[in-house]
Amino acid sequence: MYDNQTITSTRGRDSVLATNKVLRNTYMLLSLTLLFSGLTAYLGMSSGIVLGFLPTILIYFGLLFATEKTADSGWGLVFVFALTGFLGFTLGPILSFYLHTPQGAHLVMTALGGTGIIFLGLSGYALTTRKDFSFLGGMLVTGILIAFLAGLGAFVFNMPGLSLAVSAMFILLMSGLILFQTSQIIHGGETNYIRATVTLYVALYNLFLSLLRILSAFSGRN
Amino acid sequence: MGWEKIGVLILAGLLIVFWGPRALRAAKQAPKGTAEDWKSFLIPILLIVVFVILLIMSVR
Repeated sequence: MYDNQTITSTRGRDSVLATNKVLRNTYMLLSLTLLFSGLTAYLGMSSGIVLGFLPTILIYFGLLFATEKTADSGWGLVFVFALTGFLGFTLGPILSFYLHTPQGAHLVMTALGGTGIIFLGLSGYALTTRKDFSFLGGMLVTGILIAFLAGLGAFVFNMPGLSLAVSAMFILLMSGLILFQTSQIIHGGETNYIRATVTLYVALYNLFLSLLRILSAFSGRN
Repeated sequence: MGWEKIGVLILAGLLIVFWGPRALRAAKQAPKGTAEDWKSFLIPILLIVVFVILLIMSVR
């Protein structure tokens, strides 16, 4: 009986240690990728290179696929930096555009601060309550697909109203994704810190851009 | 319609064909949340909506 309890307790402790390790590695890698993408965003701003919408999406999916396929090996780290560096680079021209508009810097800083507060708040909520948000998985997959297709439709048919609605949808979906992914790490549903980092990074990236778009539209400077 | 928009339409079609069935399967297989679970999700989401409204008011 005592031995059984000891084994159970040791397994439980091992599981908690493993979870903490994934969490620590995820936040460490997320910090590094955010710093790296800040650098590539600066390069994107100063280079003046603007990629088209379709090449951006295709390169993004290619790098996402490569990261997913190599996430269990050392190459995963290379591709995660390639992916986040590329996404940072694509932010460069967008930031440059906003920063050259009146009070654009204020909008960018508000969106950046807002993204940080939302991320910290949701991560803190998931970590302290330790609630299991795995039930959000199905809704998030279908919701993100619908929002993404609606975003493509807004681009093809030139519909700024739909584009704004998609941004609002993305804010809610990415918030759900942060809760879901953090809860998956805590409950052992995600044991690969590279995959966890990519999910959280993409959520932050979309959250920031959607917030910036909405703030810009409602500030009357769109 | 330019080549880029045609390309985006093709991409959208591919997404529906390849991601659509997976999304439906994931939605069907995902664990169902209780009313309490959904409440614990909707409360922070509601707070985010209020927060975004406050941010909008701050830049107007």
